[in-house]
Amino acid sequence: MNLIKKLLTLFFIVFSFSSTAMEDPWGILDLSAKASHELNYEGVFHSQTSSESNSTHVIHANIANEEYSLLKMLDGAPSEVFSDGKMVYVKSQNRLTIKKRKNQFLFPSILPSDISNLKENYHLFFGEKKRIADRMAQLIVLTSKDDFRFNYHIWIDDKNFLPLKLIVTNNKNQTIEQSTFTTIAFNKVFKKDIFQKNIDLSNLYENENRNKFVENYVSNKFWNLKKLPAGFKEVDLISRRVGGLNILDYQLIFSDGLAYVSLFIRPITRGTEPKEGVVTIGSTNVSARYHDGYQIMSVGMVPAETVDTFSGAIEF
Amino acid sequence: MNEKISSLFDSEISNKEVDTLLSKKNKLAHARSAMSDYQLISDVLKKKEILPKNNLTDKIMSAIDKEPTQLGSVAKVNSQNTATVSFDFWPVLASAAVLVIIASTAFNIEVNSNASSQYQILAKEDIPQEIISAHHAATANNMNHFVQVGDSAK
Amino acid sequence: MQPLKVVTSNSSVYNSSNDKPEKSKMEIKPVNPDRALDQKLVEKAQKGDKQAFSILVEKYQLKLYRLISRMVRDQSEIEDIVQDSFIKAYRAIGNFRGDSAFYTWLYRIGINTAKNHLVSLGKRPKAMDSNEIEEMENYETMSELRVSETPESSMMSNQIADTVNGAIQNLPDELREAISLREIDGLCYEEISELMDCPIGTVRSRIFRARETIAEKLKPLIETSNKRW
Repeated sequence: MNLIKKLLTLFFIVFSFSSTAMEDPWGILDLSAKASHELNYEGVFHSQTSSESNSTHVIHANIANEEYSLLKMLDGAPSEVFSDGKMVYVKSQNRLTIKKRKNQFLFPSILPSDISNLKENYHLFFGEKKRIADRMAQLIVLTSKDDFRFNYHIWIDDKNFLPLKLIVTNNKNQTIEQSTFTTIAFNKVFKKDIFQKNIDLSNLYENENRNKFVENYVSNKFWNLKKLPAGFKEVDLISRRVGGLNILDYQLIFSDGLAYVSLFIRPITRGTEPKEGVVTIGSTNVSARYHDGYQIMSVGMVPAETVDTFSGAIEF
Repeated sequence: MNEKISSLFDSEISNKEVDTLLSKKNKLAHARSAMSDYQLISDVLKKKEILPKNNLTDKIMSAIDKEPTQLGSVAKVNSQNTATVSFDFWPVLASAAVLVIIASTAFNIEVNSNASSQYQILAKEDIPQEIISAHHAATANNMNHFVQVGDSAK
Repeated sequence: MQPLKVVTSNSSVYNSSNDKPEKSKMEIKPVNPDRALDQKLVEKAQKGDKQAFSILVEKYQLKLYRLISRMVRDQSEIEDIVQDSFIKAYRAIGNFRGDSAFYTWLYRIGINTAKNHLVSLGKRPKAMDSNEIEEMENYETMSELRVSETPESSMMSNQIADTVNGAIQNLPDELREAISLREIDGLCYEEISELMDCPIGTVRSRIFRARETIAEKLKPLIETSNKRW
């Protein structure tokens, strides 16, 4: 019964492509977002930033409406990431860290489920068709409507709409980051136990959730935000204890649907010099400001002006 | 010299000629006056509203002359080939007299220049790794960033 | 899969398999000469050359003035806001990285300075998004707006316009053509040299001589009035 449901979903997705795209080109992004969560696939993709380049083996499955993924890095130190849709387990060099992620995950699941924000902030263009990982793919380009974000080039599978390749460029058409499948196979049937066997949960070394997070400590919001760069909305708020003490620092996360900026509000400890300025680390820009006893830092894969605006948006 | 000013007005001037023009400090007031005339002519030809000729540039530069000299990151342009532009981001050049005044661009915060002079200029090594890790842990869609988080998480 | 006719968010219709919108190519586009010059001047200002900044002030002060005049009516207030905006821009020049064009950056400073000014006077500035700002910048026609019109200023403006237009008509053909192609058609020197079939140096010289001839005719008009029109 599940298999029939899945086939019907796939059929619907394929059939709806021509009508959806004709009437609403943005609809293809909706289909693509769904595909990355609903399809079963196994493959290898290559990810590149300004400083690192790695290949990853991925298995993704939707089993009884639960989403599972297992990613294993093929280069460098052995690392695995397992997700059951609720928690993310990162096993690297014999350390296991559990993280809880909200609404966003790794390539190829890069598109938001709600694309209305994207429409406000990006222009959409259709580009070339090209062969990627032995699949025909349609290029969709999302170009920024302003100077506050970068541009996203996404090649999606012509038949099932899974993103197969992503390139992020700045406003000078320089590549910031990219990820691309080199091999991929669809419609495999996976059993649940293959996802769990590599992660020994009895051997937990670390659980960030247990000790560090004080999530959504909303009652302690002592700041206001002045006008933010257009299109960015607050999507998450994480509080952490500083060094185990009963002092909190905060991470506000903003997104326009594709780009993300974190804004950190951290109390300055006695004897520490406040810092101000903007620097670039690889593909990430960081802006720092000092305000009334707090070091404010904003971080994101966005133009320097954007992080600078964010760090200047806090007042209290 | 005057022909160079006309080319400057049209942005059709080489970097070398800009350097030459700017080196003639005693002629810059004349250059600005000429540009002002050219602007008037341009406005008429483009059928724009003719605004009163003002001495606003002089007033602005008098005020700026009282400001501390700004030094900062340099945007480098590849002067040999204007088909490409590349930028280096450098730390502020060492100088005992440097003041760093941070002003927001689109959404201003008034920063007291005296207060900001107390603060150190941000350098890469000043950024705590846990901040970068925390950002990537919550938002990265690139495996390289995400797994680094796993390595360095505390 | 057959090629599809799709409609982009910009409402241009094309066939997805044949057409390649420029932005889908990963090529580097030529830099706008205006932007390249501004970057050069910013660079020099960042090295401590205030006179380089003065060229940027001269280049953009009228444009900024027009922009602010859409929000503020009083001439002296407009001048104050323009002055404040440039001072703020100078203070922040060290942080300007060239991610956007200089004038884009400057205009945002100008808009915000104007808004703050209005708020400080107890006036609520209209909320503007980037489309409205762009519209304001383009909204300049003689028939639509006057910054602060008096009978005297109106007469002076008309005299200036008549003098310039008269001087243009009396120019030698090649000078008139060169300056018209530059100012009215907005062509660059290279394009003008192709159209006029002469070297770029000649184009440069012709435009300069045209300007100097017209400026000579304007001198008596401008010099007779030292006060505001």
